[in-house]
Amino acid sequence: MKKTNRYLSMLSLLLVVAFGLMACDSNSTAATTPAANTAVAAAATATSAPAMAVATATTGAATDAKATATTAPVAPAAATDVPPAEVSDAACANAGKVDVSKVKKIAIESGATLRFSGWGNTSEQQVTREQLCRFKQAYPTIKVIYEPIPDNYESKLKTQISSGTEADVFYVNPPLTDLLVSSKKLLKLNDYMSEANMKKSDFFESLINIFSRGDDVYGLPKDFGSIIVFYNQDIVAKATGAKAPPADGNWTWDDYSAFAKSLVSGTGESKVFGTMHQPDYARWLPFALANGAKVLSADGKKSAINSAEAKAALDWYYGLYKDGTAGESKLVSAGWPGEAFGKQKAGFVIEGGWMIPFLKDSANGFNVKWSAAPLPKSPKGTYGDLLFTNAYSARADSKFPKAAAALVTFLSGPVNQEAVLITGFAVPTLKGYESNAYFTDHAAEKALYATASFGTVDYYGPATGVVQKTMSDAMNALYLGKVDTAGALKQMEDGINAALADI
Amino acid sequence: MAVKSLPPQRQGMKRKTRENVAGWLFLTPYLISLIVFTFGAIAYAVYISFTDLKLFGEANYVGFGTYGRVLDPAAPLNKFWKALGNTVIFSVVVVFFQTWLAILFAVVLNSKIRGQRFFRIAWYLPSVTASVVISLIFFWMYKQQGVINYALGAIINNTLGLVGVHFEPVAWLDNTTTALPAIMTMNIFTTIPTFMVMFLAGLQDIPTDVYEAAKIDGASARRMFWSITLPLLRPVIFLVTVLGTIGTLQVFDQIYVMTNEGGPLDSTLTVAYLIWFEAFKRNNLARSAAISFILFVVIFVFFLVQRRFLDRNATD
Repeated sequence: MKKTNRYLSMLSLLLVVAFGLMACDSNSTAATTPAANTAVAAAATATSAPAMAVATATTGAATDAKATATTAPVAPAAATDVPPAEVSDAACANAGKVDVSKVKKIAIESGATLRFSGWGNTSEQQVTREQLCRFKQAYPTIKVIYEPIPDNYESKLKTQISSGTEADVFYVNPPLTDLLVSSKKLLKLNDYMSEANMKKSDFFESLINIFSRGDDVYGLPKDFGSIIVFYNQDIVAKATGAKAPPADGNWTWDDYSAFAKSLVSGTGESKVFGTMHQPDYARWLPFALANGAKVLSADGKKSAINSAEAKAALDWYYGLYKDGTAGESKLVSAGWPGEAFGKQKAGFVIEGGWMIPFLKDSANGFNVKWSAAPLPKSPKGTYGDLLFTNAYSARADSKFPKAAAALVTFLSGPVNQEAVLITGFAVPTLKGYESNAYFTDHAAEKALYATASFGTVDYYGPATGVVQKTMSDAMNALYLGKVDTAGALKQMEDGINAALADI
Repeated sequence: MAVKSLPPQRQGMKRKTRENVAGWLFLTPYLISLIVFTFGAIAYAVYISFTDLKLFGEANYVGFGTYGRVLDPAAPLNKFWKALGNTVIFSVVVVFFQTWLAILFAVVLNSKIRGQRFFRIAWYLPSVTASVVISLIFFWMYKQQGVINYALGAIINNTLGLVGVHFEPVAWLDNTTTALPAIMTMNIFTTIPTFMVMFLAGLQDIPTDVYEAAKIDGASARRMFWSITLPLLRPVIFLVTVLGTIGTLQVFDQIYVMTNEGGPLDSTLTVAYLIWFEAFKRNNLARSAAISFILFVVIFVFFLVQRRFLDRNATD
């Protein structure tokens, strides 16, 4: 009798547990518990989601550009929540010193305390802390509290702004800027800039115009990413008739095709492709832009993508994929081309600055001897590229607007940007660094910096996300054989016009 | 009597009032949080679904305009109907298979087989693991050079390969035809155990003398299953079907983790994902709220239909 009682009570306990679990889990949305987060961190390595492994100087927009429509989605990031911490003198004991006499200081409030938020993994956070330490050398009376937001930055920032609890200074990307400027949440920086002896024209036009409305500046560009060629020096050396691309970028699309073809080797599972041509708009568009194509009309109200220039670029880009010279990452079981390059399954890839820390990270276990070169010029002889950028902005209703502006102008100012350049973390957004000593033996950074003068920012107004997805979806349809290149461009045109009509 | 006692009536009322007051006091904290965070939030969502609120914007009343825009198939880039189609297919297939397989597993586990306790624990594990973790693991398994393709290749090439059939590795999550079935399979696998436990409980409720009587009458095992077990399990089947439908019509985290914004060319886009997408990526709160309420209506209609056909206790 007692035994059945015990079994019955155990069974009822099991049922209660089952009901409880089902009530909060089962098919419905499951809360990611801390245990799940660490399990996620263990299960998802650097090779599964580029957004996690690599969060470099480039933007949230760039991480979207990395994860194409067909490759790994942005999995819940492995980074855990980092508590806000004051950037104190003790924390800055090891930071390098800067020549603060070169900084033109602006007037600030006394006793100012600033909160600063940004995205980035642990190594990025460390770089940011060093920058904040330099800021403290220039403005010792300002107290700075650093609150990193390693994942879901946009959602978290929007939630904070809804409740008025956002930081005083934070990163913004172009879509966020649009949203926040129209709802008047960002501080206008012009007066503070002139006080700090900085002009709008000190920055590359394409970069600063995205964060300005006419002459009113609402964000100062922090850094930028773009697309260049990363090639495997060993594969190039072993291939017959392969010549490394020139460091000044003076090569054509035909040179590029010949180069890719010369690097192809092997068949089947052991095939090494010349390069990776993903069905991702952000990899094809640089070539189309170089050829003179435009995504939107001049007034930004209609699509302009269905043009002869864009078709020529798409025909050429897709052609290399069709004849097997270029592959895509999923064919070599990689999440994205960077991973394929690291695994030495591609002779070269067209990627951005995020490749540098990704290839260097010993956790990924890649051992590739690589160098970099700019993209080729178009058949018209012109250069073009896609830029991904973000900026520092200050909140309009900050309690210490002058101090906030001081932080923004310092971080994007020449003293700090040059210090960041030397650490190899990012390339500057200010003009005039072409002949900097750092670039002499850093080919990738040099090629990246050069793109700012002829590149176009990857931003298309409030419907940017949909425009980007439309272009990638059309390329996906092309690669799946559902349309030809003319049909793909028509699909892009219809989709973009629909997206612009939906605002 | 030495002690003067109150008339029983007044004593009873006082106790009852005291008990009532105590009951309400215990309930109040939970009630307040329920009213504010659940009902209050729902009421606010209903309100904004009748406006055109965008993030950080102002709410202007537009009546049924937002609902009209969501339900309009000709509206530019309106993915609602595709998402609804995907969700309904997902729900019907998953609920069907998970109910039948759960009954099957429960019947197997209820019989006196060897290792019963081990199987009960092993088969219950998928329900205990967080769905995000399982999604990630399956994401890895479904890769083109992942475990599933490897296993299928090994099996098929070694058996049917002798007659010339060769298995090509399939990119399960990248094909428009296989992406949704792949996620459905994963979902069925994850949710069978929970419902299996419910069926087990239901099975153990059935008195054994009914089976004995049937056996005396000469019924086979299969006849007993169809004519005795299933009808007596009807309330549990109703419960499992309803819960399964409600859950599958709201599937979100598998789509979020395993696909990129709704799968290859929107083939795995679901309504719950669209709700999140409209709110957090397109900053369109009013549209997101409208879709939520349309989903609520859909789920409620499904529930009413199932109640009509499956619930014997329902009075129409």
